[in-house]
Amino acid sequence: MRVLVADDNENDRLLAIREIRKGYPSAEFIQVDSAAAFEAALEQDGFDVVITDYKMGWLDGLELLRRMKARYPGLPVLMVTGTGGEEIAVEALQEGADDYLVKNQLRFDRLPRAVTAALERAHQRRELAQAERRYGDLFRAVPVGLCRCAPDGLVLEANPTLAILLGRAPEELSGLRLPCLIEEGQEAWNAALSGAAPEIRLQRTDGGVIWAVLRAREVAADGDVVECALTDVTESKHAAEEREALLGELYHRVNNTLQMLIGMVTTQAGRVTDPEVQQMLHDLTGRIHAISLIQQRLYETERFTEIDFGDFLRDLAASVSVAPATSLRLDLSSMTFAVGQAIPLGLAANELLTNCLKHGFPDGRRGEIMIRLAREGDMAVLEIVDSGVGMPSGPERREGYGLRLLNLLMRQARAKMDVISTPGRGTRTTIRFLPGDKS
Amino acid sequence: MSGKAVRVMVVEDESLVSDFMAAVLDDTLYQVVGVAETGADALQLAAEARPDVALVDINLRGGMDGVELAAHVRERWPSIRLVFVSGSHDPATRTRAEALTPDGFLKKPFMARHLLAVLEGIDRGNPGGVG
Repeated sequence: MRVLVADDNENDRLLAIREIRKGYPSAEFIQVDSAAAFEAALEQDGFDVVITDYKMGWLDGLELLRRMKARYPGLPVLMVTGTGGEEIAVEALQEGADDYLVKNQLRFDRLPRAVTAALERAHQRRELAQAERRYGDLFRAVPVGLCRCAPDGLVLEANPTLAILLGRAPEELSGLRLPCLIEEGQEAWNAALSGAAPEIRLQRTDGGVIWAVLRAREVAADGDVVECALTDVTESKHAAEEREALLGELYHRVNNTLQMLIGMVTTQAGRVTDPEVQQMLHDLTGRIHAISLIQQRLYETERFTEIDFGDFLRDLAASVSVAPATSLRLDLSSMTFAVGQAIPLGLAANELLTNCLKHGFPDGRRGEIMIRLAREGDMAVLEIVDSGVGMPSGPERREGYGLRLLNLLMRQARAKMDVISTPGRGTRTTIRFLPGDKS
Repeated sequence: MSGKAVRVMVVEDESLVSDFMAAVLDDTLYQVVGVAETGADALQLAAEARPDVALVDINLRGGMDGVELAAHVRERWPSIRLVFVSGSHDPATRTRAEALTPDGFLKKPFMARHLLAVLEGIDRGNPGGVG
């Protein structure tokens, strides 16, 4: 530690040095007793504390204080005054002295403690200044628009990033209301104040448009100040928009393609005379349509990899044509299946439902079809029950391809199908499978 | 609109699809009075043929989409019943379309029976259609 001791009186200097040594045995002392010595000392940096008499023949202590503080603002200076020097002490403190000591009481026994306290305060000041500098730098350079506002959004202080985001000069921002600078700003401002993080669109003065997320926080302790952060999300927004446009285009294209397929097959069916071929072609369009219902669910719920199968079954039921004498009842739990399983199961459901409608109720027979989707333990159960005429058994079993297709679909979905059919009493088809098994 | 034929105008720029619609409506009480592929052609067709129903695909090439076309049709011939056809799912477009309170909405892909159902729905005063 280096201590500068300025005093005309050598005894007082030595007394001060002796006292300080009690607390700081290895301290180094530079004694100043003339203007020249002071000027020389002023040129040396590296003092930790200055102890100066108020009254010296060659320089006023206050002047020494001022010159030291001008050169080394953080350096603690202790002023030593004569008795009755309170006014001087006050002046010295106003000029930045850390403390003062009265010489006559003295014998300087308070000096080591005063030095320790002054050093501690100087250390704290340095730390604080450093922290302020660090946070100031962060505030200025962080790639997030930051500002402090009044509760109505009036900008009190803003960082350069915010100015850049808004496309304005930093000095323009103070005095403007942030909500006025953003589109639908008042709404976004209120949302941000209530804790949401609204996405906002900013029309910059240069004509560019950016997207940002606005967050705000009321700082009650700071007298109704709102701290705001604006994060630029333009790039990810553009990427998301591109992705959405691309998906929308793809979706549209797939629907149109499936429409063309259905159209071609239907038109062709209208030109054949064999009713069996006609029926086959018609069944084919039903299958294409059932697949389209699954892909519509994927896209419109924006989940893309799984669908709520209960919702799909509802769509399927709404899209089939049911004779007036037949009623269709749905008992559907909400269950989510991966698309790889949903497609074969959806096609199977379409196949079974179409069969019921086609063969279960000939000649306007009255009856009911029930579609049930439920969870039984780990397993999912899809059941289609009708009160129709039942299936013929034995070699005359119809629907050669339909049955083969169902078996293939069960394999693909890793599902097991049981059919119980009683002539005249109807058919119950039960499909059991482990949902979500994508392996 | 029962009894004599219902005159239907098809506005669709994919000829495979308009051909399918015409084939489905052939031999029904719905008579296709013409097919237009753009909004401008559709306005001319409507003026000439004065259909009872316009089946309008929302995605049309050219400067006018199906919703804009439908707005013109609604303004000039309020009695023409309006059915939108669309294979897209764009909520903003859907909102614009619904603002015109169409008499039906047909989602692509549709089967023959869905087209007939939405047209029959108009007769029963049952807007909404299939999907």
